[in-house]
Amino acid sequence: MRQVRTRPSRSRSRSLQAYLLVLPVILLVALLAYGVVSSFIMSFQKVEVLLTERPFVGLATYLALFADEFFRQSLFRSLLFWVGCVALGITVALIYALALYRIKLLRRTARAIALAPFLISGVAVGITWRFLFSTNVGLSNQIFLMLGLQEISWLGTPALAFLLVMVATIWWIAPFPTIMLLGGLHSIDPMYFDAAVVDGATPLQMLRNVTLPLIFPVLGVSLVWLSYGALVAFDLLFPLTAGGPGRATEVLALLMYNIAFLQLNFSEASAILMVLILLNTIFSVAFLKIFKI
Amino acid sequence: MQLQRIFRPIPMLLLMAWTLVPSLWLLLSTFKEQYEVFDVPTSIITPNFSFRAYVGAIQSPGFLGYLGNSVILSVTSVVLAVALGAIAAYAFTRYAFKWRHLLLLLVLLPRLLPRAGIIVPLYMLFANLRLLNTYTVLIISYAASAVPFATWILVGFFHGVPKELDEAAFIDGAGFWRSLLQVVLPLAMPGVVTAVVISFVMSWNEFPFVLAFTTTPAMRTLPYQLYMFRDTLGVIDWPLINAFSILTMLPILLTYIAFERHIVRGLTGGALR
Repeated sequence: MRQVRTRPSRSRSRSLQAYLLVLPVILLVALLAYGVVSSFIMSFQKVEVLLTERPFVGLATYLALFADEFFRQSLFRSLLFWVGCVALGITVALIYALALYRIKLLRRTARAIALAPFLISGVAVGITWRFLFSTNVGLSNQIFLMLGLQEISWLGTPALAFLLVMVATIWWIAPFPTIMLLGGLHSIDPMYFDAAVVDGATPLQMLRNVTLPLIFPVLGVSLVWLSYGALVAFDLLFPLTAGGPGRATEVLALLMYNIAFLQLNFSEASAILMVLILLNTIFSVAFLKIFKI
Repeated sequence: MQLQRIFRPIPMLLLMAWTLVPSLWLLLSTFKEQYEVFDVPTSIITPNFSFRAYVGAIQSPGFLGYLGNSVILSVTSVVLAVALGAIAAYAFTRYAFKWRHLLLLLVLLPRLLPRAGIIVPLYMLFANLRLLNTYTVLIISYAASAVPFATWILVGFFHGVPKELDEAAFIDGAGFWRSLLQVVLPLAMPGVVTAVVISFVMSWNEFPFVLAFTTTPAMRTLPYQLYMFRDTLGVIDWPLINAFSILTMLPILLTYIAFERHIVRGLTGGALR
């Protein structure tokens, strides 16, 4: 015989059941939350590797950090890197999405290829670009030498290395927004485009006045993703340049790793994490507000 | 008019080249001899075509161990992340309980967390617990970083399954498990596939955690070993390193080719099919 449950007694046990069901996921995520909270606390303490005592030092770590020239340079570098990755990344993604939207031949294949870099490990992408732009063997220098030009030491020249790292990062992080934007374009009723054509809109007017406003929310989400990818890029930069030459590509994520694991200064590394989280939150919230998501 | 037709495919071709050329150049180099890549101009398709580099990569010290580690860690963390994510997603979409929206937000928020950043406190925690160099910490931390995405995807797809269906099953006496496994999951299959594949990609490619939480070579995964390869002394054997790269990417690419349709659909919430 089937058990018939009555409503009032059910609702209470049901909500208890619900909490039990989400508990494992909450516990897993709690590990990450622990990391953030613990970092937050450590950034106000003086943490020595071999000592269990961690005296409270207030804002001393942050003050030391902002007085440190290497940190300020790294912060500036990160912001420059961020601007480049976000601005160029959204441009590439948008152009790519529009091209994929219009293509008729091999549509699915082109789409699948466009998304592929998103799935490759950052380390492999870093190695690939290192190979592409290393002296002698690199594709770029092969082309230069064949044209009878001088070889360029991409990874040995600070400004070029910075540019290269940015381009490689965009290659890696732009595909996901490309596909999101393509999804956005496909959810637009083609009627709008037809109407714009009838009204005699030029392609540029169409983009500005019809297409972009209609994919506004997707544009915002794409920018949040690019912003995140540009700030936390570690997997790719670490094998590609490891911050070099000198400190030319040492963005905050790399500086944080070096300070933690080479200098064993966990307080300062924690403070840098807080700066990163703060920047990421500010940028994300700003994009979400601007694009009214 | 005729001219316009000729120029029309050019932007798309350029974009395809932008995506494909780096990987193709890498792939073509793997069939070359060690010193051949230094020739100017180097051949595009080598006349000395061989799989020497792949054999060398597979026979490089510890390769099978690293491959084994990668497989064990990805499979376990994917199962954990998707199973727990599905259970939670069911609760989030089927039960009304206090703090539901806040809890869901808490689960999703870590997607925007710099993973490389929290390795410092977690490293200290695991070192204190004497858990460095264990599968346990890697599985837990991999699953923890995959679970927000898996939950997010599954919540979206579970919303799309009409509630009437599992309410009907409920009246027929089905409990939570039967309703989840026999009603909701089969109908949300594209979402499950996306969650599995993306969790797999994330775990397979993971780098900062394994870099920080392991110190013995025996615990390395393929991406970690690929990173270590970068610093070989002497003349770099690029074909060997690149073959190692390709081998590292291969399982991901095969999975992608098999499930491409589901993934594109899953990632765009069904806008593309």
